Amino acid sequence: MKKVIAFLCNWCSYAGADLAGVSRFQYPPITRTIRVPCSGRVNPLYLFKALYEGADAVWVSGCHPGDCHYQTGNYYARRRFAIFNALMEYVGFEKGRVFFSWISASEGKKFAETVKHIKEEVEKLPPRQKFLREND
Amino acid sequence: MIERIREEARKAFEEGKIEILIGFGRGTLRATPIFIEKKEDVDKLIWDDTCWINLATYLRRFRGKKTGIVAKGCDARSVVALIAEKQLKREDVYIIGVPCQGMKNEKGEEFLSCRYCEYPTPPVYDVLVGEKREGKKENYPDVSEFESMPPEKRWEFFSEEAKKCIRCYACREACPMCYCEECFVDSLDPRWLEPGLSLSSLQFWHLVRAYHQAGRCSDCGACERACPMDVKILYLTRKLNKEVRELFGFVTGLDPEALPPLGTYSTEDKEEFIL
Amino acid sequence: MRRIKKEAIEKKLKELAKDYRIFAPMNGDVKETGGEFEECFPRLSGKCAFLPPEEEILRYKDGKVEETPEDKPIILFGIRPCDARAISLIELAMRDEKFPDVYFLRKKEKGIIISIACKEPGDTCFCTSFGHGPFSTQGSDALLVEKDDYYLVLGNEKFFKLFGEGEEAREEDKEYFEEAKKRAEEKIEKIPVDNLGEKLLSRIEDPVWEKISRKCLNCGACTFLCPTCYCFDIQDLERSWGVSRRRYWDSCMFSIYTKEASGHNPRPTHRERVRNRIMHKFSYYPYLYGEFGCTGCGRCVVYCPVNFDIREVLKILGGSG
Repeated sequence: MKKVIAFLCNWCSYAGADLAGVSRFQYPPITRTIRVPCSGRVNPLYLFKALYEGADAVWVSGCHPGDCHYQTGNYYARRRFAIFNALMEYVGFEKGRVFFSWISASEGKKFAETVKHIKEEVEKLPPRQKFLREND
Repeated sequence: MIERIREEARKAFEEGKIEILIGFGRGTLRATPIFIEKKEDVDKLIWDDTCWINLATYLRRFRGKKTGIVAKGCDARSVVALIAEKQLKREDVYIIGVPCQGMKNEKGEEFLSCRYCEYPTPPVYDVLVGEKREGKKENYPDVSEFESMPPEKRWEFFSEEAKKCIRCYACREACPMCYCEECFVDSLDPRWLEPGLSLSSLQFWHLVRAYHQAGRCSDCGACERACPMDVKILYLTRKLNKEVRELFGFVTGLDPEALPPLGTYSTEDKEEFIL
Repeated sequence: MRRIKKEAIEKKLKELAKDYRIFAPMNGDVKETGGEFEECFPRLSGKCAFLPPEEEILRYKDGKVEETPEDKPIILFGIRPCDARAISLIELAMRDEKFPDVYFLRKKEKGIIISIACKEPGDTCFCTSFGHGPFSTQGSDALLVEKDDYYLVLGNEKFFKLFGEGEEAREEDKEYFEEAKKRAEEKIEKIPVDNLGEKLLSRIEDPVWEKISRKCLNCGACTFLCPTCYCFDIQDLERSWGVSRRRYWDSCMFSIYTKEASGHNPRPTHRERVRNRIMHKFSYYPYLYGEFGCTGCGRCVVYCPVNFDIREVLKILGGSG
């Protein structure tokens, strides 16, 4: 089973996951969720670290632009992750391991679908080989 | 040029504008940083094409003192970036700007960052020594070339370069913008990455250091030149400079009032990559 | 003195790669090779063979401690005499009576060090300052001097047993040796080091340290490339099968080197750190072991990003600059 480390913002995406649950939308159990106050709380270092420790993919999800509980946190996050993406792609790290999404508290359906999408993408890829912490 | 620098330095001491001046003096192998505390010593200042250390690195050591700095374009941009990040006060720094002719290695070859330098003349200064020089407008041809390689080749190159690293952190220490009280590699709790020279740890270091420079790097190239192992670093930092310019329209070190691009946002930022 | 064909030594070295780990200068650094080597003054020094940048010392597995087994013995070939000497200097510290460093010593005891005399010393060399020189044999099991397609060899039994005895050197060889030695030595700058240890000690609080150290960036380039710097750090790393205890090069130039758990740092700035590096090499080392902790190879001078020149510092502090 693939493992995806999901950083979900407390106010939107985490609540979206909750809604997916109470609405009984099925989604594959690949995520390991870390609840964060805001997508702007996610230090890009967390993403590097999660990949280094062996996650098949990382996923950050926050509120839609304009809906941030702290007004602007997701805007800062958006900039950071644009740079993160650009850097990882530039050095030739495989695509399809880093995901970002905006999912609101009312988008239980979108949450379930996004997880399915991530699973499909990750399963297209061979097992992780690059940028893994030594473990043997 | 050297005479003009000395003259301006002397004047700055006489007029009480500075208590200490960071400049270049004659070293045993090339130009070396010197710290001048009285005007009688200004004759020790020199200028040539081996002045490639970024002197802004030293500024934070003299915080609270009126500090002068002999700055080429990239040094001055780092000073501006430090001011923008509230590490220095503009009024504490006296910039003797020197339009830079480009720096060379011991074989006499111009450095990469100088070959494509856009701002040989300091964009911000208190006094400028000599005629302004025009920069080049080449838009990162080296980065574009690297981007055009297939991903596997890029990864291979990145890995081969990272492998040479011995983690002496000369790149970090030579960089004026690497001023964290505790670098993430030194942190034991949390321990972000392992010590040692395993490939992934070295890649981790190079990725995160480059990432931390996004929107802050003045492209001086001191990191790469400081490296005793000749690890290439600029292809990473220059990529992020290019990216920051394309995505956010930001160029580091031009305006001390401007917020660093990752310390601000625009509601119009692109987001095609977001699901 | 003996003379052995170059070919014979090169061939033998490749053969020995079966039973030995061969370290030699290659592409500019000392590294493990299959018996090949390159005639150069390497950037990473000979210490890499006996004190690698990273090495496992034990494993904790299934509730038991497993010492890392001994590897094949090491042949360190083709380094300059200064690097060979440096290893003998490290050994002085590692052979501490109370805390001998078994991981270093077991390699050293079985290892063989073969140096090639330095006929063309560089501009930054100052090895003769310490009473040795480009043809010094200290620390080497054999010193080779290139002459045409021969090596002239000053070696011990250990060497000749492995590489063969060759033939007795001729009179002209000995003359060649002496001449080359003299020529090389003449090229090297000599820095006065008389009573340097005491002089340094008496100036430990001298404000001059602030001046000297100001430009130091506190990176670890000098110490990592230094052939006699041996400081290391030990850390336990998590692995799928348990815990790997490893040691790594560490550097007294780093601020975290002396940082205590409380957050206090007894060497808080570049001043204390630079002073320590100089004092350790030129005052504490001679006090403890009777030798300077420096071979004058000049690497710290060449590779320092800010051209911090230890020769200048010694001249200033030794009272001759």
